Amino acid sequence: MNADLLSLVEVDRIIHEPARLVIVAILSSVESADFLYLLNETNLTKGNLSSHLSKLEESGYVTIEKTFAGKVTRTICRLTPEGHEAFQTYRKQIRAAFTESPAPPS
Amino acid sequence: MENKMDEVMQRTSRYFYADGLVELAVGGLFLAIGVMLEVWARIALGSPLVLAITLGLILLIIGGGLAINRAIGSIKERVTYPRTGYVSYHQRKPSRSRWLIAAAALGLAILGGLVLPEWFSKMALAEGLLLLVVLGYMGYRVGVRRFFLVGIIAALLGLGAALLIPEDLQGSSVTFGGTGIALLLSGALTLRAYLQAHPNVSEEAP
Repeated sequence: MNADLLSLVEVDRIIHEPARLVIVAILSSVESADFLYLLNETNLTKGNLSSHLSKLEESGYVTIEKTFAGKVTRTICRLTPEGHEAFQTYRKQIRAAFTESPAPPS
Repeated sequence: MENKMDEVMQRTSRYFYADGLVELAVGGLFLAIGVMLEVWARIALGSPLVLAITLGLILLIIGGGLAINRAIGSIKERVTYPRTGYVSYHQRKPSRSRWLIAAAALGLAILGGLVLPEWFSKMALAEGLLLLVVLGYMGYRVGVRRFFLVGIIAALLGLGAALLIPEDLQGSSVTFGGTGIALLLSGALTLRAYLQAHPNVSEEAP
């Protein structure tokens, strides 16, 4: 198998899942974002988003912190340095697989 | 797939401008600067008010920038974050491209000063072009098209003022004041659309 395609097989499955990929892509471009923002952007249900965030937290890619904004709780999510690195590695693998693999025969 | 990820990341950057508050705040500042420049232009040279206006203008520009940051944060906390969520952005150092754009705008202004005839109010045109470059760059970077439109309005105002108003200060007043009004309008329309699209909801933590 082509080395670039082989790298596609080895991508991080935690990040590769579409919903988690969107969450990580959002968090990679900001310092932090709260649960409500991620809910609006991903169009997931609260339960689904919560479950994906827990998985990312278990993997050490995201930290979740509960704070208060006045009387309202705010669940702040941040990408950890490991999360940033994993996302960059994932992007490199995907880029390599899609840009350097031969075009399909016509 | 890469493009989709880039789009998601750019949309997150664009979120800061989704409520129009930045335009309202900057528009208000520009309008205030325009009004002060107009007052300055009408005051007779040598009047003690000139010093007061000059100091006021400096304070407005420096203090206004700081006040805008605080005001936007405080209003977002009440209006935007409860509706569509909270996002905190990285504090970025000015990139090389920003310096290049600033240098290009300065170069254009100097070139305009050398090439254009005496009766042409160069200041207003330079300011209009500078605003076009800055707003155009912001629009391109975060993908907010309305910034291009306001930038074009600023450049047209600058050109119009340069052609029709021989007095530099009054020309600048028209450029800044007009751009301020354009920004206020753009911000108000954006805020209205945002509020209509997003009724107030409170976050429920998972």
